[in-house]
Amino acid sequence: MGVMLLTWLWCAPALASALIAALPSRRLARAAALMASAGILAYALYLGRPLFDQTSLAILEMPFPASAFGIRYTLALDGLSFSLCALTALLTLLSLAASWKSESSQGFWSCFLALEAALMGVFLSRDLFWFYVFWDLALVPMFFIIGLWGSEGRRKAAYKFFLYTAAGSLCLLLGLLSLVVLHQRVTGIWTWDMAELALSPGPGRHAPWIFALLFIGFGVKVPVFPLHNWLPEAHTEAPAAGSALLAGSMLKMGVFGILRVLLPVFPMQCWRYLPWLGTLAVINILYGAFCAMAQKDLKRLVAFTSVSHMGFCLLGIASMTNVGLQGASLQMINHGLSTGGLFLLVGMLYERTHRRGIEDFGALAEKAPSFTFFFGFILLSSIGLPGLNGFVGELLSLLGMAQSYFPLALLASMGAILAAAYGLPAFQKVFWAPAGPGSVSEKVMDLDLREQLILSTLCLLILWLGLSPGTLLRLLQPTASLLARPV
Amino acid sequence: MGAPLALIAGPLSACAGLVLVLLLGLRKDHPAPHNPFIERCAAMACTAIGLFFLLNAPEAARTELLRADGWSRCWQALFHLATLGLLATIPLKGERPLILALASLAGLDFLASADNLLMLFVSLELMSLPVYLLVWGLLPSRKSLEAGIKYFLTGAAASALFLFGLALQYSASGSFSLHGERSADSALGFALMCAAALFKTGIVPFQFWLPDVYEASEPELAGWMSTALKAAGLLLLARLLFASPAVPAALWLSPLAALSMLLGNILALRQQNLRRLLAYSSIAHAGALAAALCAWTREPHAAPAVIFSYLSAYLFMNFGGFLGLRLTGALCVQDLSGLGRRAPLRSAFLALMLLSLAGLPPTLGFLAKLYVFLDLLQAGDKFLAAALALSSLIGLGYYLGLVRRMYMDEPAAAAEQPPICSRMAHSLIAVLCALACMLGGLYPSMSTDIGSVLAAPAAEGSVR
Repeated sequence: MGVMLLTWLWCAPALASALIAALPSRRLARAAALMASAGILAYALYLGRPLFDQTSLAILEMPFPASAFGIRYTLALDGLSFSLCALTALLTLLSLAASWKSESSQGFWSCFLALEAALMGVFLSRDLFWFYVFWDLALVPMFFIIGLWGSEGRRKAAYKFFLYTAAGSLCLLLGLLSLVVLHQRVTGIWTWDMAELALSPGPGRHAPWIFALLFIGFGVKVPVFPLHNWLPEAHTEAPAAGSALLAGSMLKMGVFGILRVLLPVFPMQCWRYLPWLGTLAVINILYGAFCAMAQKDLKRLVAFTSVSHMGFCLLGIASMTNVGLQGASLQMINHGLSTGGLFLLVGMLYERTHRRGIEDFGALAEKAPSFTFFFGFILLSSIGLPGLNGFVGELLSLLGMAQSYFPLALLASMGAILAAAYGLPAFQKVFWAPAGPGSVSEKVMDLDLREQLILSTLCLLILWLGLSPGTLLRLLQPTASLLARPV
Repeated sequence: MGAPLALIAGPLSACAGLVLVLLLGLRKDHPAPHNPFIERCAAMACTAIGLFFLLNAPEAARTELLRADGWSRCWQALFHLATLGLLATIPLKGERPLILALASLAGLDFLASADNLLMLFVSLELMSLPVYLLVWGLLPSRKSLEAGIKYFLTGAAASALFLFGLALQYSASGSFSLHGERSADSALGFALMCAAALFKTGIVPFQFWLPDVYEASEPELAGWMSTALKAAGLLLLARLLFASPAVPAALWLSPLAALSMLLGNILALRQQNLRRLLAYSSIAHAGALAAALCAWTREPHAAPAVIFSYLSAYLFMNFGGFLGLRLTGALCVQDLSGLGRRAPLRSAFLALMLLSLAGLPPTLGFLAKLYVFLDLLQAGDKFLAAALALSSLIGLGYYLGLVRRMYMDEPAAAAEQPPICSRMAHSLIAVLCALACMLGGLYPSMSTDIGSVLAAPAAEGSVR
């Protein structure tokens, strides 16, 4: 069985979560959670070393023989999995650090680590059974995080989030099971292994149905345009740390699923539906941007930017080119950093004033200069300023789409302009415009050292990825070139 | 152990327990209402010894009336396990409930090994009659009297249907054998007998008695009825379907299964009384089991192990669910408000059971549901698979609603909070159920392992 290095990546947070739930005091739980998540981040980076050195493309782990129906516990860490695992570990650490002052009970800290465990499991699994187990498992801690520690409308938001995404999960389950059963019928082999199911001859004439089921299952998480309804509410009502992880890591599950399951299994269908997928992506980009423009609540605004930015991920995937797919993968990481950061920033503002409305603030720049700096910096990354990370991801996605379907790329590039149109006015109103009558800007204290440290970590990463995206792209490139359409 | 003993090891242990409890009851002159600890232990010991024999007696045997093979042993073990849970937790004032439960267990055991229509009928009666009394007498009140009578009347109707079908079959073929010749008359006979089995299982359209009866019963009893008796009904149905003539079962059973799943879950959405809610949920689960049965009749390779795995999973999670109601003392949905803060461990247990019933991974309930899905898809039954998915989603609506209420609602005023039960036996069994539900789901080979035991053949040469 060996040491099972990869298994520890999800087992460690799971064990830590159980331990923390049993700790006697809140302060102890808080410290333990922070230390555990820091340790897990370090461990994840340690595991990724051979990928950075390019001494190996992936680390595979299959400690047990296949059991009934060919289910076999298989984990693998390649560049894409590693980037997402590291992102999850980082965001968990930063989110927990950002919630340091909240007086939440042991359960709060425990839920975050449980969520981390499930997310790691999703990003590591290569066996569809275990993939689905982790996929659904991630819902439960998030349900409690939103429902117990969110703001006023939390109960309804949590319920809606759970049912909506569980409906998606059921579609996914049906799709995956049909795929496995049909594969068995045609080839006589029971297997749940993603690699073996790639290009499976099983679906045959059922392919469109299975494709649709899987696409809905993954699409709810992304979220793809008509299935996005759960998102604004869940993001707005969740506690800041919860929104950061929800947007930063959980939405990536959908894109990851498309990259790992949908594309390898159904390349033909994907090529055929390319214009439609691209259209959906463009709708996502533009719709998210227009909705964001109309928001009066900062958190809702950030939530809709999420919809818009995830559209770029989808766009890159829909292009089915090497460049586009790399862009989509990079955009996942970028979005995690910038949107995660924005949610944390809005959360810090909320912690101080218990307000989130754009109208509630004004002239914050005088009162809180370092807050202004960080907000501006991360917002610019999100808008896609050249030199910061967002620009690279969006540019590559657009380039990819331009190679395969130019008009859609043209339309999608509107999204980059719209991003400035919704981001900058909001920023201007909150930070520079004179404070209105109902303004609570007076109450805002500037960031303390802890918060500055959290945000500077994010900012450094944003800058690094913006100036030299090569390191990360090298990690993401193998997956992309594998899935790209042969030219 | 000789072959004849292998045939009756299960029922024998139940009857031995029954006699033992009766004898122990003779000790006292005027038995005042009390909690008979020794009698309870004796009954449990006999049931456990029976279970031990069943698990360790690989011998197969067969007579005209009974057969002992892997199949019968598995079902008997399931019944013994469920009854152990009941005997350990049932609230007692005097030893009578123990006697009734053991008598019913003997009936269940016979049902599992019966290989003859007449034997099926006799064991069915032996199984049912004590339960009517249990429902009525365990908690004497107007409500339980009403439920007891209702249960008795519907049960009697089911028995009458079965008997009538039996007579028709006998007149058509001249034998009580399950494997005899078939004719048009016997088709009607089998239809009537299947209706009786549907009654016992609580599948639409014969589900109407179930919520009333569960509502009036003690939670432990309802938990046992919803698992052991439902399993018995399903066993009966399976036996009949595989002996039944030309009409393919999938034709009439699959719409009933779909209806049960959907109707059970939709009606459960609006329930205020928790036992009624679980009763409707059990109707939905019976529908899922019937769906698996349909797949089985279409595709014989799709193993009966799927049904058995589902039932064993259901035993832990539904008995655990009812146990959770007892442990938290909650009667109606409002009682659950804020329970998470008041009794964290108990609510965590109840929440785990509910999530397992809802079929969320990585619980045992998920694995059970996954098997049924696989089974249906293998048999090519997309319609039932879609119905199961839809009903799971609806089910999630109320299971999750209960969890939300426990953790996210404000607690009721202190005066209105129900008392919490803290008996050792309850807590112990709750821990067992919780462990089974949490760890079982991570063991995907369950169904093939069960399948290999189930398929152990009966002896070729018959013993007279």
